Amino acid sequence: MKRYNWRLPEGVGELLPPRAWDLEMIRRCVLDLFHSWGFEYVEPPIIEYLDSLLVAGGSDLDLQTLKVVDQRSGRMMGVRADITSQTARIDAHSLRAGGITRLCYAGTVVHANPAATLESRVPIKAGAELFGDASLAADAEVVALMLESLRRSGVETPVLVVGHMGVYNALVNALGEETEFDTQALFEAVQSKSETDIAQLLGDGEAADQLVRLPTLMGAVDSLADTRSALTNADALAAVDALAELVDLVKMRCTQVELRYDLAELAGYGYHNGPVFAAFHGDHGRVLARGGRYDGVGAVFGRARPATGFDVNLSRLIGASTPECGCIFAPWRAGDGEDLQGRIDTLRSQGERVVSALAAGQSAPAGCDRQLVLKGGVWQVHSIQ
Amino acid sequence: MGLTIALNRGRLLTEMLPMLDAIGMAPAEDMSTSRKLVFPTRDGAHQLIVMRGSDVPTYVEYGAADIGVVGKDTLMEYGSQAAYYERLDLGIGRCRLMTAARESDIRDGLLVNAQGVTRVASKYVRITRDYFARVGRQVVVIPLSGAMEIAPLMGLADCIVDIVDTGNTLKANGLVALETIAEVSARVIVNRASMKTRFDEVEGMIGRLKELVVR
Repeated sequence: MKRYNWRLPEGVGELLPPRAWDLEMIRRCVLDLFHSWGFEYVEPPIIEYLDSLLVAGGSDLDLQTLKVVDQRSGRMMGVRADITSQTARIDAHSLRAGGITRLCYAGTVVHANPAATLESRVPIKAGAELFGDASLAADAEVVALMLESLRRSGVETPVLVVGHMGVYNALVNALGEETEFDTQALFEAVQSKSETDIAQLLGDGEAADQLVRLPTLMGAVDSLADTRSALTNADALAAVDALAELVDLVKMRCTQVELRYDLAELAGYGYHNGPVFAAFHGDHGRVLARGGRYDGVGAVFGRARPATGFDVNLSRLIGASTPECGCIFAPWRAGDGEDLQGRIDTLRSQGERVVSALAAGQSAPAGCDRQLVLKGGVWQVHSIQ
Repeated sequence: MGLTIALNRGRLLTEMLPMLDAIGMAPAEDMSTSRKLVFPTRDGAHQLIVMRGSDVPTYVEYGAADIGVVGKDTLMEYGSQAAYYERLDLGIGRCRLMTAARESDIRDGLLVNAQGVTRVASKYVRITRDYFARVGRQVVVIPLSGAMEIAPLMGLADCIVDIVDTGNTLKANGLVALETIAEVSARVIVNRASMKTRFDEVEGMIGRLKELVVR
């Protein structure tokens, strides 16, 4: 009988050499960066009770969360689909620090349903969150860190798209009680920029017209001011002004980036409520990193705090950085000359990877591009032809 | 390389070709006589790829094509709306997604033989399931890949969900259209990353198409 017990679930992959090291190197590099910017590292649990995992988001996060029953308490547990909401709990309840708290993390999340057919259900994310500061300077800080972590991972000159949830929220509020519509359907129609669908959902009216036009309000940031003529709602205009201010702050700090705006770019899991941002690159068909402001999410844990942050999908960055060089092969210790083990230790301490033979006569395994050769009593590194 | 544009072969392609011509993106050779599936545009700047409609959103979602032209019915069946941008309603390929049943099974515009669970045959499995859930009717969906009209005649299903253009096929098989699920027309969809990283090219093409639609 043929056995199929080697199979992995649909959408679940594993990282093999050399990609697994690539990923780990990117993870370290990104965490070192967070460390150098003064962010504290947290390691939230992979499983939590469902009611604390799902406080932040809407139905999207609920659908994405894999659920299991805790056999000890009988309560429902969820496997995290997102780490941001966990850090909100940590900031609001576990730490309870006053002032500004900077947290960062890296780990696997699990998606019950892959966001798209070819998408992994176990993406690996790293992120940084800043709590306790409601200013645009905090958003700019987070954007700058997001761009720097992409640059360190080998993504030069990304495209940064900024938006503001305030515009969409203001226009939806302006629709008033009398307009009946499916909120989820409207959100999806705006996200997919389908003017036809928005018009069909909302019918006529001033706020409805502005929502129909919302998907077209995008372009290079120099033309952001032009969108003011397409909007009349005061709250929406205030959001555009805030966005313009954020763009100026980002421009001052980051130069190697193409800046665009898209007022219909509505981020993630439905908990964002201020400026939102996402980074793309021409070589990658999908978003690389995204984030935004989510003030007040911690309220359910007893402390409403201003909050902004981002996460970067590390799995998508594999291959963006330059691959490291191969290993050095050291033959089985034999004969006289300089102490071979000492030479190996020196090379390793210099950051080289050295593979030792385990018996006489072994040849270099795949992945070795150089070897140690005894010449004139000295162990020298020679390339393998 | 310029843009890669995925086109739905068949009737929609025939209606689309004059529009491509008008915006200066006509294929370099006659698509109807060639057996090729990839065509450069006349100026050589872009490429057109021809495929089944249901594959168009897949190519666009994963960025194998920047832009796609496909019917709204296919997009609704594909699901996952946020997988791409739906930038423009071209207004061509108009038809309706409808339910239909045998004339003899309908009294006062309602299906009469539906006792308990209604059996619905369709190639639009997702749309059928969503629609009947929305209107609050318990159904069993029988997936078929074409010629749905036969199913009620042979007693396989109580009704069908299909696109209706003139209604002649239904009529010829003794079926009557009942409820409209959605109005269908061809849409231009755009890969989410292409929209950001190749904004000028993509919006340029959308803009020129839009002018044709308004006219």
